[in-house]
Amino acid sequence: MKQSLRLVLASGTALLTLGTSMAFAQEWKPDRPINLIVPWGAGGSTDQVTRVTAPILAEALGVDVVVVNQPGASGAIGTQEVLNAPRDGYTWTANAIANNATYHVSGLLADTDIDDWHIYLSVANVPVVSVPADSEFTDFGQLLEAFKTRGNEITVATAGVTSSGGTAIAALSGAADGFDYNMITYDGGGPAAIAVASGEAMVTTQLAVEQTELIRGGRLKALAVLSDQPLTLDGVDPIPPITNWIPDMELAPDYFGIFVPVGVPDEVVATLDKIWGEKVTTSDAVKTYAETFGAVFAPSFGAEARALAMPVVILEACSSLERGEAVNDPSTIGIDCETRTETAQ
Amino acid sequence: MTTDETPIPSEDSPQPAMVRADLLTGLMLIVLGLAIVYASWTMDRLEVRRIQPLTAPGLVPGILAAALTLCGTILSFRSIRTPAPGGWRDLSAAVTSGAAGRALAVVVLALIYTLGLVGTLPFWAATGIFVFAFIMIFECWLATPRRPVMSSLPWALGLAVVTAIVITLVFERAFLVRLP
Amino acid sequence: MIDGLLMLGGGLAHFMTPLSLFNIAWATLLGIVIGALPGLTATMGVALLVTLTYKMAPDQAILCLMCLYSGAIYGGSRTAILLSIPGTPASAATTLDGHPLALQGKAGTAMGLATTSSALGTMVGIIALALIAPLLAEAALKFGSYEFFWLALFGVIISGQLTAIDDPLKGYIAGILGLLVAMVGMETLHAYQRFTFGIPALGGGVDLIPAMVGAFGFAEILGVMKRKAQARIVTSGDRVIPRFRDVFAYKWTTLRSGLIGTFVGIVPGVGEDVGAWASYAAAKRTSKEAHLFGKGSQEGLIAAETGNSAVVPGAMIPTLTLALPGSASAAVLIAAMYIHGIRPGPLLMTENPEFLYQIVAILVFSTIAFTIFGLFLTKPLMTVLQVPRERLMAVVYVLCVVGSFAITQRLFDVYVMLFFGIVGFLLREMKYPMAPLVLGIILGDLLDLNLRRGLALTNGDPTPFFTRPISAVIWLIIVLTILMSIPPVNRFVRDLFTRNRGHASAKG
Repeated sequence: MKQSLRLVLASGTALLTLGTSMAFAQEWKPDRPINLIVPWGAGGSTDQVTRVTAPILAEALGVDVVVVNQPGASGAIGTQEVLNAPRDGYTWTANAIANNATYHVSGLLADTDIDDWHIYLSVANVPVVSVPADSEFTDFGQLLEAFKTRGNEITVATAGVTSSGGTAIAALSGAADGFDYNMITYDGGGPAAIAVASGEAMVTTQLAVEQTELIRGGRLKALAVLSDQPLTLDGVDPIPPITNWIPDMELAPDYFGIFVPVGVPDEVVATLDKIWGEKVTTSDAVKTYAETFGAVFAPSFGAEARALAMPVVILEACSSLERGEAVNDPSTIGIDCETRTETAQ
Repeated sequence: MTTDETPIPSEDSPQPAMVRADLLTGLMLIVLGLAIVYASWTMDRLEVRRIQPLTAPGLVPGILAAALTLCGTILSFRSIRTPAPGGWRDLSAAVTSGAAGRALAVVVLALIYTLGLVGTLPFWAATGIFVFAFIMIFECWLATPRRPVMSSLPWALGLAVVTAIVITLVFERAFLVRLP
Repeated sequence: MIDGLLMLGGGLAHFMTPLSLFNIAWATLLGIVIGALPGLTATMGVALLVTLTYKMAPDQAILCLMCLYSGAIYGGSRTAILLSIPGTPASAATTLDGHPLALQGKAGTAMGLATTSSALGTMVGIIALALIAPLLAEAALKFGSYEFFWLALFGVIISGQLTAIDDPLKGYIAGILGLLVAMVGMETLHAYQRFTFGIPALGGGVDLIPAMVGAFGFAEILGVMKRKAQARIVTSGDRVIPRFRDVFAYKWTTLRSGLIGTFVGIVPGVGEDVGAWASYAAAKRTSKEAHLFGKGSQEGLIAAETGNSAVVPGAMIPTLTLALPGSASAAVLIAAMYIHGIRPGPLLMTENPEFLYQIVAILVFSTIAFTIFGLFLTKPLMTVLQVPRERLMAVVYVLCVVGSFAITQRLFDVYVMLFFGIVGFLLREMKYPMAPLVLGIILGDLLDLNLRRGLALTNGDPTPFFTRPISAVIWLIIVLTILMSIPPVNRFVRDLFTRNRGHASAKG
């Protein structure tokens, strides 16, 4: 990040960024379509928000931004392709930042961390704890009690150990004396939510965006949102925050956005900073999308985005270490799990 | 491998060459099956992560490989018990026949194009060269009767140019695919 | 009911504008082209068009996407019939009888029948969508891990039966090889990498599309080119627009395939390809001309094409009423609807009921459009058969390369295509059918994940696999299917059946 950023943080729940990059760097005029690689399947939560954002960038840049789905290996395949591509600014990726930052820890990709990317965040997603509409649990307190007494009998549907839902249930367990649970993996957040709606699994901790329609349609009962604020979806009662039951719960919203590999020409970064600051930050399309699906509209870029992303990166890296799944110690990407802080930089 | 004139064998009497080819395939399938069974058995059962033992990643591949081994065994036995006079001779004749040679020529051309040309040359150039070479080789050299070079040349050239340009344009401009 | 008809009328009238008709025309045509090009699938086409239709009004954008979707599923049959290369996985079953018909000089008839069958199949699905969508959607929720496991196993058994004419053993071997191919890569349940041999690109597994383009496309090129001389195909005197009685003769096959396709569409996670295979298998089991299947049976072609097209409206049922995608393309459609501010889901019928009827209207229009295009485009397309193979196959190979590259834009997929082409050719030479191999790749993940997921849900107890009502029905069918394939049992049952009928008629 070579531009100096003047940041104004507006108060309230939404972070409003008025970043004005020093317009000294030359403007980038791409002459051919840009490939925006989504390392997840078409139609998933990453894919959706990316397809809302891509046209804004395409319009500002004057070329097509083509969304290419390259699913496989928890997003590692597509991310590797982006890292392998020439650093000419014509290949980007879109993902949850915690994934890109921790592929090295999970052993899926070697020697890559958060500083390999120019980060452009658009929305923050929060996990919601939901049970089937006819579930025996009517509030989170009951569910928590059941976790503590029945542990392994409670089936929790997620999209995998490294997914947002997997991280969320691990964090819940960590905050409540390490209760046991039986995690069942589905092929994505959507299918996991459906499995709970149909009664096959008992609980899901996937993102709100993946459950919105099922909650509104009365198929899922939302017990708590992993945030310190209640979550309001139109048509249903506000979902109470987890801090009502576990006040000292460690919380880290999962930020989604578009990332450009480091090493691209400076003018690419300068132009994108400008577009992100002027167009995406004020985009009604992204804002409406976020509000409709229980996400938080939180555009940011550069150093500010990195700072926002760090808590969820630390949480994800350290919880995978605790579960014994980390292939490389988080210290190799500069995270100290004793203090839950960054060591290097 | 069938010969050129009889592409479809009669159903009740299997061809001797096929019977012998089945034996070879059967043995290969047994080896492959056993190798996968071994790999599945020794596959990490993730005990550290305290998963339910029946959900170990090696379970289904192991069962499938066992089934493959069984099928390979049945195939081999069936082949041994079927009389196949001159089977080995027919088989080696089929492998060295003109048909196999032509198929091999296609494979070699395809490999040169896909592994060698695509990625090193621009896509349109690689494609033009491949189409041109393919048509010339199969019309003027591997054909019976061979066509004179001069009558094939314009076709080959024309088609090479048209294919190269049309495919590159359609995929890059209309479908926005970034060709290699 | 009256409300429904009124809203359907409203939906139809809504799109009777010049702009809408223009959009229907180009989107359907583009769909047919994308479908016909090997490798380019309906899903990819829809995903691509989402970006391009971003600025359109929501109804027009969905109109374009839906037309492209059903056009692409139909378009795949062109290449399947003419070149024996399925344009999309949905038309893999079409190659089995479509291409033999073309070789017999009946390419026109085949493409005509494919067109009418696709149209009729879509209509069966549309009726189900218009009349009982919310009811059927509940059925989709009843399918859990246990049921999917049995469905996948059923598919494997069927694939062995499909090829019983040649040599069932080789059919099963091909099927098992396909299932094993699906085991490669990272499995979802524990994120464990299987059989990747340290090659990072294999971590994502082997993609169906390049494998299929290889096993059907490149292998077919090798098969055609190895012959010394090309068989001349006579195409004279063959009519394109099918006679009414030709279509009517297979009314039960059409209806059955349409219903199977619709049902497959409703079941989430399986799509057009499975719809085609399932109705093909069902047609073969009940057909009087079963011995012709695989050698140019019109009934087989009708079953496959009706089956895959009926999936399109079928898949829209859970898509619209539960936001649960009934096929891969439907998943992208949901994303597109979200982007345009339409929220499919349980509340759609109360908040926005006219949208469901707009979708019905769109499907009606797209069916009309592809029928017209299909019948008019057949004659010019048939000139493909007149092109000398030396020239045609060179171009087809280039299309195979670009097609397998286009989906994910990785050269690795092109190498996968090459590998499956060469191995597929060798297997085909030894009379191994390619259909079970491809079906195995489709079903491998379903089989593996759902078996182990079911066991994880119950902590290792297999009882629910046998006691859940739908599961019980499916495994009973599987047991019966296996029993019936054992000759003595089959003979016994048939005897019993004929004796009973004889008895009954004697009484009457």
